[in-house]
Amino acid sequence: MSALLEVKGLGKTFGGRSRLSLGRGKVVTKAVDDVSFTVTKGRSVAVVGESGAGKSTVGRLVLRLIEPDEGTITFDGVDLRAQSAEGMRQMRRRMQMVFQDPYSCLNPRMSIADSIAEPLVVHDLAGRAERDAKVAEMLDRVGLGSRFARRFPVELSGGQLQRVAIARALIVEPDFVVCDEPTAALDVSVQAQVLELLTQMQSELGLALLFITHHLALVEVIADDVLVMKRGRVVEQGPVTEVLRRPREEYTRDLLAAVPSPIPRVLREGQPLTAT
Amino acid sequence: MTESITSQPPLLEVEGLTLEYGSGRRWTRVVEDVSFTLNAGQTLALVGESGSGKTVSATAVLGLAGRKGGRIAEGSIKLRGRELVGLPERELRRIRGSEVAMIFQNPLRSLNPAFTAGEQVAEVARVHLDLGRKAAWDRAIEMLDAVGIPDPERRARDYPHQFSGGMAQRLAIAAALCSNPSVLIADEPTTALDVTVQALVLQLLRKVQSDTDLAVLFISHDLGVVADVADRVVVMYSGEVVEQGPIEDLFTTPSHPYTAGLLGSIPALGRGEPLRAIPGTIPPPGTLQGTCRFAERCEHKVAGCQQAHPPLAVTADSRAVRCLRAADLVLEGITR
Repeated sequence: MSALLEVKGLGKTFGGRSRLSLGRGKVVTKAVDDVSFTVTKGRSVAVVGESGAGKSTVGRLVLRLIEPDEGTITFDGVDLRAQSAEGMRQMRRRMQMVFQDPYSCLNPRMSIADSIAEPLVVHDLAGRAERDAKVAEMLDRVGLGSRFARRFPVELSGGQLQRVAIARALIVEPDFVVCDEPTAALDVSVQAQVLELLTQMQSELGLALLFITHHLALVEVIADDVLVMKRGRVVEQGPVTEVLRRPREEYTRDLLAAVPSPIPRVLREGQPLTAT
Repeated sequence: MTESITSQPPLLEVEGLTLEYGSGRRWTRVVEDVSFTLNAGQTLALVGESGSGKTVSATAVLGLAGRKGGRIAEGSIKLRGRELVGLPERELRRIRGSEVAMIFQNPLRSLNPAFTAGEQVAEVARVHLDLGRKAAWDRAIEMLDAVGIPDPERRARDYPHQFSGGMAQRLAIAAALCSNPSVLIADEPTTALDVTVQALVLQLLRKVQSDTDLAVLFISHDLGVVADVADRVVVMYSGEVVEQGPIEDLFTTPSHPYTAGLLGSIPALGRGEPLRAIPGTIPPPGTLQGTCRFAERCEHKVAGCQQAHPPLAVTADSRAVRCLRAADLVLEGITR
């Protein structure tokens, strides 16, 4: 299948004066350096790495929420970097984002229904009656139900808010969604619910996902391909089964070793460690 | 050995703890009848989702329930046999930080941004160990070194914002342990950290514990992390204990459907199966009476489950479960 999103040689340098050097030197950080990958329709690519590896920056660069310095981003045959602001605005109907913190990504003074309907208004996609019907349908799809429509963010739990954020991203029927650590702020049990919802939505709607996480065990649950990033560069990439079972890089092995095992330590101890 | 066990009270003994929050005539029971004991060198994990009452139970041990508009309605908290409930604030303050210390999810919030790393650890040494300025500073450097902060003498002069998340948590641990407490309450200490940094901080906690015989009350929503540190587990749901027992038993043969549900939602490498999510959400405390509080989310419920509130029944040696069907359910746990 042809690539929906094709990223080649993506690069971003953040410059600025360090406050500690008192204006004497310019500190330049290459946050993303020569990153290339493709996402096919209906598939999911994970970006993993520690804080500061540049994985969130990659997600933002792809949507041009941050302007890239280098590289090309082609979405369904369209060169995104050549788009005007208006052209980009139109492209973003098809490219959505779900953020890490569901508490801060929703307007506390807007009702849940209004928050979910907002992208339809922004993109002028539906009349009022149709909007209400779509919102009701999305609320059902994400497992909340219409009784949540008139509530406000403060009345909802983190997991429920993340469902709202997902509903809001999906209501414009995008082809591609960037999920930036969408479960990092949630309880493990709620995380499982949100991942279940995302994979279900993905298969129902044929979505392509870019899933950003620091947790390698989630990669196995959600992704087909994975990029392992360290200090702005991709150190290893490939199909999830390959990379996780036969990691070639020391760094990937370190990340794998850090994933906590659900087997109690008392049961693990005294046994030879088996290589995975 | 047997003699010492029978004659010595447990290090920390919480019995029938019931906490209420509110004001005036409206008080909500947020935690009901929670009991557990913790001995030196042991790690007890309090596990549950947000809103299960695990954090408020632990802060009550520090005598902090009143600070956040709560009150201990019933129950007792004994440290080495001495009752803490009802102690005057002056006495509690002496215990807090010297006998019982605490670390939090966000280390930067428990550190003062205006003081250097060394100063905050030294302050603990001055207040609780009664050391002079110079001796306290030396003790601080020693602690920074003990928690694995590289180049401690230089780092002692840095401010908290100059520390990364993992290093800041090490610093918070150094400050907490500086007074040689016998109990450390660790409230989600690795939740805000990267997996790699989390592994190092957990390793540090285990090392400190084996070196000093520290008792740790570890609060977490993540059973994957708990598997790494705990000896015993208390699972809380909607303000009450639903299951407790030694970690190896509770993980391999869970008796409560909620425990099994939590185990099924742990992301682990090589699981080879999708995560099993528990449907629904935790009911707010105090909303469900006269029923099993988990019943509406439980795939094993029968008619009797919503007709009475099940008691916490002792099932085996040091295990207990609050489930009507505990005897006939066979639930899936963690398999090797």
